[in-house]
Amino acid sequence: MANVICIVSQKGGTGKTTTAVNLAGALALFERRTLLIDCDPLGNATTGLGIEKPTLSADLADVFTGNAPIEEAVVDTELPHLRVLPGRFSLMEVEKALSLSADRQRRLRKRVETIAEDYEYILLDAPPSLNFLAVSAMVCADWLLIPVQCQIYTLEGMGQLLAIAGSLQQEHNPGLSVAGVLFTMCPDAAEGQISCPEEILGTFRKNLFHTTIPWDGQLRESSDFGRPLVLHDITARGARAYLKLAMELVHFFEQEIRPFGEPSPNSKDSIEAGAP
Amino acid sequence: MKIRITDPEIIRKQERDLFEVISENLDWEALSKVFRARHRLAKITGMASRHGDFVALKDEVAYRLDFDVQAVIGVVFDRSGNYLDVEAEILEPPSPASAAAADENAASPPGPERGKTPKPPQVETEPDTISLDQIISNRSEMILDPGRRGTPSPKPPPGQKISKIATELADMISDINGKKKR
Repeated sequence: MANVICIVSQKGGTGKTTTAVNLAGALALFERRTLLIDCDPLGNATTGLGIEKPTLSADLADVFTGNAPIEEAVVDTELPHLRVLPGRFSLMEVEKALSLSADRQRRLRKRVETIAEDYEYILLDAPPSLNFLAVSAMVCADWLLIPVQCQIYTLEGMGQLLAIAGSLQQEHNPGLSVAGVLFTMCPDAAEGQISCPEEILGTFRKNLFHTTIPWDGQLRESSDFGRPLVLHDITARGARAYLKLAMELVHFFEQEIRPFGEPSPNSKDSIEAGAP
Repeated sequence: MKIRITDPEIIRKQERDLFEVISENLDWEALSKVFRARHRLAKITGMASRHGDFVALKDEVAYRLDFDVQAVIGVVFDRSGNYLDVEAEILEPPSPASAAAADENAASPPGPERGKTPKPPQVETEPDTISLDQIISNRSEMILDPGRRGTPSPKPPPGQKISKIATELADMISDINGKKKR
């Protein structure tokens, strides 16, 4: 059964889509059967994987509304282990179309469950808001990965997202938990590390991924080419960081080996551990 | 001068029997709604009658039943330590109409009134679970920001403020991960 990870942040510009595309690409390079679900009506993750949206016969909106089976909407990418369930502007109409449907917030989860056996990792790229699509993505997921810009002040406002995640866990998805917070766009000076005194982060530090994503202009440029940076230039700093993040997740989910001797995901202690 | 004219045990037994019959025929769902509306309880997990008695209310005989109620009550407070009435957000506060109805039901005897057709307590219905829209509209406002609620506190130094936020976020994540069901 796939590990279903929702990449979510209510704030725009935190690197959600970049993380979704490059993490998916990195997992596929490690030959993990990966599906990326683009839940953002802008469809940037779809474009970032080289999918021509106008040519699609079906997309995530069709899966939501039942116009197409999920298997038919999933498309291949140039990486053999990576497939994508594309999103585009039609997603804007989904909430309205399902407004009278009972249990609509679990609809995506039900659809994804039917194909979860086919993949080892399913990543959901949530839109930068806390709307129906983001909530559906969180209800669908087992884990939340929260990217934030590498500035300690960006932690402000995360409480809103966590409050909603807590409510969703209580009401709709009891298996939901927070995998961790990923610092992105870290400046050179930080050398990929958070230059923040231990006493300020305190107990929050255990919720951070060990990997941080450096600022790398190539990450943005590669999306213009419709490829993850891990395919476009695997030697780039940004690509290496996402490969490292993928390795961290693989260790966490598959080998149950955690850096620095932290508990594995299935051990009792991991409840408190948070980030892989 | 006291002159006993019947066996008091018979009276007590019949009273007990009466309250047992009343208890057995209570509409527990309606009663639960009355309690939730009147006492603004988010969720009642258990309820049992423990004692019954006759009372005089507005020159009429009424029945009083006491209940043991198990309820889940959460307490939330902001970063300044001020209590936040979050339960009132989760469970919409009773409207004047529903509060009046609840008051009326609470004052009325649970048994049939004289000369009137028995009717179940009338309380505005509430969903047992919180809808998605409620979560989004209510919880999205639940940002633990002291500037939004209560008395504004003096601004702490930036490092201290972030440290408090970080601690709160860590607690929230720990809470979510601690409640995960596999």
